Amino acid sequence: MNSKSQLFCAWCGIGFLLLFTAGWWFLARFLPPPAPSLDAAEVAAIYQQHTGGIRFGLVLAMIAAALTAPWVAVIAIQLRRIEGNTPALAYTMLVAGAVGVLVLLLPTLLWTTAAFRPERGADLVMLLNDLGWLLFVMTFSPFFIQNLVIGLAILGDKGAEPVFPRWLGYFNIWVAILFVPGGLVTFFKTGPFAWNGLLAFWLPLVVFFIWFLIMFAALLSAIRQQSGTTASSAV
Amino acid sequence: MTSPPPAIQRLPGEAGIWVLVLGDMCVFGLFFGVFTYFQGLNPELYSQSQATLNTHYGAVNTLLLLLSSWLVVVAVDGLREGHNIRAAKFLISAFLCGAGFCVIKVIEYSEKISSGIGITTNEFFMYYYVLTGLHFLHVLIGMAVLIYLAGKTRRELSDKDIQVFESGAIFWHMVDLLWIVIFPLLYLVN
Amino acid sequence: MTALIKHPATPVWFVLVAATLIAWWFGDNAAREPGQSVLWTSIALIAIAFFKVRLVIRHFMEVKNGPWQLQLICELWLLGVCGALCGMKWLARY
Repeated sequence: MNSKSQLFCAWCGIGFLLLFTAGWWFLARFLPPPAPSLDAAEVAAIYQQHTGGIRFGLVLAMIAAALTAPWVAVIAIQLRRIEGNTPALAYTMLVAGAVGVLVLLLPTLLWTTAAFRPERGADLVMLLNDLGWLLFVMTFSPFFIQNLVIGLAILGDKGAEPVFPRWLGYFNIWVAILFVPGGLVTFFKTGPFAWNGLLAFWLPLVVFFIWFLIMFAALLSAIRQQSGTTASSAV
Repeated sequence: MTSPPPAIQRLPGEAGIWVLVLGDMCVFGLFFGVFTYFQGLNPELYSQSQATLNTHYGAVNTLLLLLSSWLVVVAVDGLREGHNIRAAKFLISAFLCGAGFCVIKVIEYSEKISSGIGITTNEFFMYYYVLTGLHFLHVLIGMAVLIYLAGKTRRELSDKDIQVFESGAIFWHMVDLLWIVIFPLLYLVN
Repeated sequence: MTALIKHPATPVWFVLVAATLIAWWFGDNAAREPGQSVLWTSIALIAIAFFKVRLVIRHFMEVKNGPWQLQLICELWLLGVCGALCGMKWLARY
């Protein structure tokens, strides 16, 4: 029973990837992102031309964002197994992960507000567009903390049968460091560190996607290992 | 690979550290490539901006990191033979080299900032601040690792512990080798 | 003290320091006027840097005694990044 609810939570992570891709990418067409160098009229035109797609796509993206809540919870549960009675890192991960849910959720509503009345002044549409993208790309700090504590918890696993393989700990630290260039988008409107740039956006985006898939596989085997040990100890 | 194959082939450190180290090296490799590509599109801007950098800071920092790397190699080698106290001294010395690197870097940054050169001044200084800043973050992480390892020498060490030392050392050497590339790329090559 | 001087890492370290000093002097004094000489100075500086990186990887990180897969990945990284940088310098020479 216990492992079934955990499996459900892990699959929610995959649900997030699929639904967010469908809504945010294919329907709202936010990939590649509108360049931060566009002027107000150009930004407003995007929201005026694709109003329907953006509205519907962002409803899906909003639902998708909430699916990261169970995903974060099941990672926290597995980290708790490592830490036992004093799960400081697991709780840190849970709190940072909860903030991360908001960082994925709130931009969908800011962009939605822009698409809600696309006929309003172009400057206002641009403001909302800026707010959404800055929140979405620049806010690396909760994800940094999240991945860092996952990494530290895994590396601190002293159990005879570790919950996660140690390389996954190092991998999480690598991912954490990779998110840092996102913080640079405040300075640039063009180039690799703008919010549509190679090193501030594309690289973290691709790595974030791969992180989900790798964590998913690791969670499945950790949950299987846990139900195996509890079953044998019950007998 | 001209040298004859050694008698014992052994993975240095634990396997996982190579995920982090090779991953970071690939990301920095991409950064170096992007920098060199855009340098080729606008060489005058890059060489004019580069001329305002003080190569002495970069070169002294290279020497500091090389020294620290050597100290770490000798420290880890000593640990394998049980010289824990000597290893601790060498690790702390390496940490101090890292601290020296940071002091020079901060002096260099403050000189640049006080003469009005910031991250948005131009494309060259964007890369200058981002590359050196990200490397700075790695130096800080590496210094934390060195202090952690120095503290760990106080107890009896198992083979597994030695592996942790090797892993930490490999990370510190990566910090060194990234600077070995960043220094000529930012300060010298035009 | 003699043990430190005899340590296998010590001669490697001296080579690294010497290479750094050469690159430092070279970078400060080499011709900077546009033309072929700048290209070759750049390529030489990049080559020296990756020669040093290879020494650090093989001797300090102890990859030279590691499994061949690790050695291969490291060599490919060196070749790939160094080759890409020199190649871009070559293509941007005019």
